[in-house]
Amino acid sequence: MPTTTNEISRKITRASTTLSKLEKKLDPKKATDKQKLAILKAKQKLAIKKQEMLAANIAESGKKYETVTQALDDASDQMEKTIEDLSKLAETLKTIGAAIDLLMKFKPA
Amino acid sequence: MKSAMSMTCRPISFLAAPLALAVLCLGLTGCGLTVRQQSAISKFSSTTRVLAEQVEDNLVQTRNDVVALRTGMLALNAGTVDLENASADLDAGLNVDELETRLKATGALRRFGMMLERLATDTQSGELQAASDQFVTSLRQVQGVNLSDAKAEAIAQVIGKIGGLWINAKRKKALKMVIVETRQPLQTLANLVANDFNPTNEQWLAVLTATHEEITDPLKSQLEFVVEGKHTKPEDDKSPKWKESEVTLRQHRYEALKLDAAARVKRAELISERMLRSVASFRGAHEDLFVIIQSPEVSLHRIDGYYAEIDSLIRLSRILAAKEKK
Repeated sequence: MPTTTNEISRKITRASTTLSKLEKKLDPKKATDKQKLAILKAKQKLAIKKQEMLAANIAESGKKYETVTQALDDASDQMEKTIEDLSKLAETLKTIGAAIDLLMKFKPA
Repeated sequence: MKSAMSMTCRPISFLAAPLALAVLCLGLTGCGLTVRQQSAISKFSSTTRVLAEQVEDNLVQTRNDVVALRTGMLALNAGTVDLENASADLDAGLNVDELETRLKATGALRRFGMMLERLATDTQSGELQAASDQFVTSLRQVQGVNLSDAKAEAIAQVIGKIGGLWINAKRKKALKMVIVETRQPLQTLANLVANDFNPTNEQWLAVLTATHEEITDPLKSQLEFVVEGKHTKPEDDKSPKWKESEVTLRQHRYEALKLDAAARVKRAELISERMLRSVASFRGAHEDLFVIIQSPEVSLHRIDGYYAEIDSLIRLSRILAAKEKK
C-alpha cells in the first residue's frame, strides 16, 4: 500500500522528536564519537528525507498548476474570440456600405 | 420610374426605419455593463495582473535563496547536500521544470486579467462610428434616397448607438460566462499559491525553511563533531583532513552562512505573510466579482481592499529589494 505524503510527514516529525529526546539524554562529556556520529547521521538522513517529501509535494501540486493553466488559457482564448466577434459588427457595416457602393456603379441608365 | 420610387420608398425609410431602430434601442437598453460593473472588472483585472507578477518574482526569489544557501553548505561539505539526489541538490527540488510550470500558471493568470480588462473596456465605438458614417454615405448615393446632412448624421448616430448597445449586451453575456466558468480554476490557483507561500504547508517556501533548519542543526553538529573529535573525521566524510586554521576558517564561514540564511528566511516570512493576505483578498474580490456581474448593486469594498492589499505587497517588495541593494 503506497504511503501518502501526510504519513511520511508525520513519520519524519515523530523521528525528529525521538532523535531530539535521545540527544538530550546523551551526556555530551560521556558520549562516544560513535554515538555522536550515529545521531549526526540520523539527523542528516532525516533532513534529506524531508527534502524528498517536499520535492514530491511540489511535483504533485505542479500537476494541479498545469490543469489550472489550461483552464485559464482556454478562458483567455474564448475572450479573445469574443473581442474579435464584437469587432466584426463594424466590419459588417463597412461590407454593407461597400456593397451599396458597388451596386451604384452598376445602376441602370 | 424615379418619382414613383421616391414616392413609395421615402415614407417607409423615414418613418419605419427610425421606429425599428428605436424599438431595438429600447430592447437593448440595460443589457450592457453598468459603469460600476465595468469599474469592478477593470480594477480586479489590473490588480490581478500585478499579483501574478509578484507571485512570479517571489517564486524565483525563493529558488535563488535556496540555491545560494545550499552552495554555501556545499562549500562546507554539508552532509545533507547531495548533487546526485534531485531532492537534495543545490535547488533541493525547486528545479527549473517545477518553476516553469508555476510561471506558466502565473503567465496564464496575467493574460486572463489582460483579456478580461480588454473585453470589459474595449468600446470599439470609434471603429463603429466610422463604419456607420461610411454606411450612411453609401446609402445617400442610392437612387431615390434623399437625405439632408442633419438626417444623415442622425441616422449614422443611431446605427452607431444600436451597434454599441448590441456590442455591450454581447460583452456582458461573454464576461458573465467567463467569470462563472473560471470561478473554480481561479479559486484552485489561489489555494495553490497560498500553499506555496505558506512555510508550514510543506510546499515551495518550506524548502527554504528546511534548508535553514539544515544549516542550524545537522551542519552545525557536523562542524562541531570535527572540532570536538580533534580532526577525527567520520569515515565517510570525503572532505580533506582539516587543519586547525581551516577549522577556524570554516567556523567563520558557517557563522556568515547562518546569518545569511536567517536574513533570507526573515525576508521570505515578511513576504509570505503579505502574500497570503493578498491571495485571501484575491479570493474575496473574485467572489464579489462573481456576484457583481449578476447583480450590480453589490458593494465593491472587497475589490477595493484587494487593490489596497496588492499595493502594500508591492511596497514591501520594493523596501526589501532596496535593503538587499544596500
